[in-house]
Amino acid sequence: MFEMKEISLNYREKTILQDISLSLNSGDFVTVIGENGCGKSTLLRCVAGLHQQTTGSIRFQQKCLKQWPIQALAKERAFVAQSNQVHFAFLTENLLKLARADQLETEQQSTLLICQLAEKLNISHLFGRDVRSLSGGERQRVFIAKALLQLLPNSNQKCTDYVYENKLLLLDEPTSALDFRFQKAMMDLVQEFCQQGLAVVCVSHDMNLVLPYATQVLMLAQGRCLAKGQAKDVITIANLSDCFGVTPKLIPQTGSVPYITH
Amino acid sequence: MYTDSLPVTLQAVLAQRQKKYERGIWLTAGLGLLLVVVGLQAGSVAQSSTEMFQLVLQKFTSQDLTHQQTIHWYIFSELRAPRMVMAIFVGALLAMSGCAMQGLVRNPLADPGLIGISAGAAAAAATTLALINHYPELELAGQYLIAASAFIGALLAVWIVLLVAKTPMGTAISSLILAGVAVNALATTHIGAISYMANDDALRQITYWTMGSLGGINWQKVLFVGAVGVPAIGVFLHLRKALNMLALGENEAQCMGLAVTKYKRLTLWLVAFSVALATALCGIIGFVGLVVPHIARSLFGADHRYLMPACGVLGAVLMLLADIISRALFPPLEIPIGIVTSAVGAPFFLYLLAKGKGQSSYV
Repeated sequence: MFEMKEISLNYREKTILQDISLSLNSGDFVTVIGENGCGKSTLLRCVAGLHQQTTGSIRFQQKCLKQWPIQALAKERAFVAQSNQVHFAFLTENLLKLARADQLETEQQSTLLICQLAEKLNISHLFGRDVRSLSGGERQRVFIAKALLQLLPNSNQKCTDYVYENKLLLLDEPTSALDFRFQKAMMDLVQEFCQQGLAVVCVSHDMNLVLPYATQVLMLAQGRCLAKGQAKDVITIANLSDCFGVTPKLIPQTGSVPYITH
Repeated sequence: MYTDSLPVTLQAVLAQRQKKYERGIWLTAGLGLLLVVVGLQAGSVAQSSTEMFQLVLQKFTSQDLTHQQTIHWYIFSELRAPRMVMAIFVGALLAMSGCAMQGLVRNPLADPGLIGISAGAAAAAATTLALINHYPELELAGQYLIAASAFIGALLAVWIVLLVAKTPMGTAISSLILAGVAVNALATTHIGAISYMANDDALRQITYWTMGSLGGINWQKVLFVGAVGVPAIGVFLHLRKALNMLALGENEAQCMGLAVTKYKRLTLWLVAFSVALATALCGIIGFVGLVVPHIARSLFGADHRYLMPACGVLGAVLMLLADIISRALFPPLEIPIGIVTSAVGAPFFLYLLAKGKGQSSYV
């Protein structure tokens, strides 16, 4: 449902991304890893349609990404950025309501959805609070809730019954501000949504947390794809030292991706 | 249990809040209406309510008016009524422009003057005033020429600023503000140069114009402002959702399905158009665009769904109040309304800043 073919991106005669291909099906969880400044976030922004690639093609749901009307695209893919700034005193529920502003549904229906998702992400106690006064982790959860709400189709069903078939969620460091408990809870939740058909592209530095969930890993180095495939194939000492310039230790885990440590 | 009752509770809270804000907006509008009644009576020729009511009654029952009453009726219907309506339009347009501008640049300190609109208008108007003074044959079309040139000057300033701030990725807000500062400086210099060369008469007119005034407003001008101002207010209200999304940043807004470039451009031109319109007819009226959104935000919250109409109503109310003060303070002298809005607005703004220090509760 998402097909990216050999895209490159140049900015001011500098190559940011080169020949990157990625294909996603419903339910896929792709983790993008790589050193700081290797183009992970730029890649994510290309996938979101915020950057126009210089060469190559991106197709989303059998349609060229460029040709998507912006409003229709917003109902099919959502993006959670690394830093979430709110510039005025918006209350949590107002922010979440905004994600449903383009939907044709009653206030009651959108309120119901918001509450269901807020319960799921454990943010319903934040209702009535200024988003800017929330802690980093709380705000991150609110923004992830907002992204998920944006993708929910128009209905009054419970969101747990939803099929996120063909929808795409892009996460840029989604767990960076989350505490020990919510890191795990968030990833479990995202995986749950993946099982309902949601495709996820997640950029993260917390490899040990994210890799066990990944169905596909894309390793970037200086804007190029260094390795791609299943986690167990990509996470090798050779690849990791190529990518990060330091040689890590791998502790084998039974039935899972090896644990990466210094 | 809890999960089931939460949506009900939240919906109730939201509905209650909406009701509260709507009531607040209507109350403010009611206050405005009261001020209109007060404003019709205030001034160098004071009329009591009974007198006024009697006058209206007599007029509508086609009774003959005495000479004294005819003069009063003229003051009432041809001088005060149009300027009240003008105050409403100008106040609403300026305040909504300020609200839109602050939302667009995501900075509560922004006002329409920031990007050089008012200064551009003033520079063009000053040029025309000096020209009229130099070529007395232009005197006849004077007022219209000044209004037209102010309008063109304002739009020209915005056009320059937009041109400078244009990047392949859209309009860069930081360049927009910096370009605005430059255009402001340029326009101020231009006014300075003209003032330096102008004779006393022209200088006085230029100074008077830059202070803003609702004097000389007739029904013709009101009709004109109404014809273009009402659609402008409609577009401002249409912008509410876009401004809400833009408050989260441009990338976020785009990801949420907002055509950011289009709405940014629409907002800027709408603000330019509205401020140009107000400035062309009434001169420079400062601080309304800056202070009213602040007051409105402290009363109605930051959600533009309520903030925008609240700004419109509150702007109108404050402008009516300023107009009444300007006429009633030293009758028969009339203080330029720009002086009143700045003299009241600036200290009030300082107070707001001092009060909100450290907590920035609503901005």
